[in-house]
Amino acid sequence: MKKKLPKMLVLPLFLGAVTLSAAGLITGVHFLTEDRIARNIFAKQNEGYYKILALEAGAAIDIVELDLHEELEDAGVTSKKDFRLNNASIGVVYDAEIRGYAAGLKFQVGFKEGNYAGFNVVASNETPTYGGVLLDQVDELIKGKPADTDILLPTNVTTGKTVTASALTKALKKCAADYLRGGEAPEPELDPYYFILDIDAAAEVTIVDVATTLDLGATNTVNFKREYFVDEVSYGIIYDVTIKGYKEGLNFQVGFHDLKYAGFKALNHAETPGIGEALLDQVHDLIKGLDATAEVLIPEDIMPEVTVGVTVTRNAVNAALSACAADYLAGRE
Amino acid sequence: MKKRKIFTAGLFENNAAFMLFLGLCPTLAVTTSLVSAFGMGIAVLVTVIITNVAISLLRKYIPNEIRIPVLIVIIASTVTIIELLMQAYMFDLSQTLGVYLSLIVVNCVILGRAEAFAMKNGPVDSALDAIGTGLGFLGGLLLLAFFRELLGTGGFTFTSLTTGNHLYTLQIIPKEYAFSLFVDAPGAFIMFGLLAAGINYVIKLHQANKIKRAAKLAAEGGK
Repeated sequence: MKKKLPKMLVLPLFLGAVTLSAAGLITGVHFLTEDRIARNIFAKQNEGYYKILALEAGAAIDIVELDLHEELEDAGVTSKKDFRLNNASIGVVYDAEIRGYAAGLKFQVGFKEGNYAGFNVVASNETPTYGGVLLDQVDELIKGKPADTDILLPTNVTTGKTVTASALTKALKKCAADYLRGGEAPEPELDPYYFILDIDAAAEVTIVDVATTLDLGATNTVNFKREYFVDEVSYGIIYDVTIKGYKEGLNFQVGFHDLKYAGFKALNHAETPGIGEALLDQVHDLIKGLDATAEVLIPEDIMPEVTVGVTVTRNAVNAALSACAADYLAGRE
Repeated sequence: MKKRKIFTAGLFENNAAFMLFLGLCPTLAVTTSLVSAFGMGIAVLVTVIITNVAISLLRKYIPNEIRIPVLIVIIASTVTIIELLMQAYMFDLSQTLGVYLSLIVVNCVILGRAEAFAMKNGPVDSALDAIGTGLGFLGGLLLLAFFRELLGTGGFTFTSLTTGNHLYTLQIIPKEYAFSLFVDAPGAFIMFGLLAAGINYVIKLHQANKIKRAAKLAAEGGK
């Protein structure tokens, strides 16, 4: 009598066999369609160049592939092309691939005569009625606007549309900045303490770590507390803090000098452009010069019309600033 | 069950969209235009035919304990293959359908027919059931898209399924009188509700008439 294999083995083996066969089939179809899909994407890209720069079909255009620096590559830019007619540049188009709500958002953005020339989607996996609707609007929203315009794409707080809008806004801004610099790599930024404590960029700064027992709670951390000296004169104390705003990982620095708030700078965050990010952009001007004992830092009437997310960020930043101020004042006593 | 009955059940009385309310996510999402509704309908039709036949052929070998994962693997690979083929030969349409093309994997119509019919019937009957169900779903999408595009844009725009190039625009209502709500999400729900109510009313009326005729026949002595 034949011995039957136990179910514990048969079931996974059967499922494995089905999965392997399916994988084999998909691999076969992938090999068959790979070239054609790549050709479709290439054709769509070429179409995009003509559409963005309003080129006439058959125009004798020279296309010069330009080098990409690290910042552009980090922003998802895969190529940058200069379109030339009779040796004169008629526009620059950036090809990029980023992750919006879904991965694989391939797009092109072009610039000419100092303005955004247009936007074209090559391929995307965005939801047609959310991210897809947003992508349909981008060309109209940016076309003809100066490249230094602060582009804000429409967001919708509860959907992935916001995620796509945020990712796209960042990438567009990086491309615009590169275009305005003429393709030069961005100058290395000065350390934030120069800005926060208003220190001359040429000054030689001595930095001293200061011990702190400041506790901002479970989801927040104080990365460091440092005092900054120029020619042995203290320019102030800075706290580097990471907290949870509307999103995780909001990293900022706040400085104090002469018992007052000296300045604020958000370093890393995932807050939504136009919402949480816009709030953070205002904090420095709002708190600079306020007494460290001040109770109202970011007032509630700042951006009252926007969504609940901004309130969460405002409350979290306010609480962290007040805690840092209390620690600073305690250290001065 | 008669072959004709198997075929027509999915078309009308068990219509996935309007009678069983299955696969409503793509139904509401892609019916902004006749062309995208047609593309999605065809993709679902092809998927349900292939998966129903494949599952029916394998049904005697599929262990009952793992039938759902096996069905999912078969459906998912079929959808992936269709997606790759669409990206190769109907690139623009695949872009228009976007993520909904991949989401055919979780369309209840496909898994529903595989589990309820293909696992219990032969390949011919399963193919007929799939064609009926797929055509019923396609018809439902086209019906909804017809009214949404007409009322939302005032006409119909036809583009090539393979190249995406614009072919023809038929403007029936002047654009300024178009009610764009119907191409937006709320309009999809409103139009779907109106059509579902209308279709169910007609079917109920038809069934009531059938019962009346049967009662009349019985009263006349079953002649």
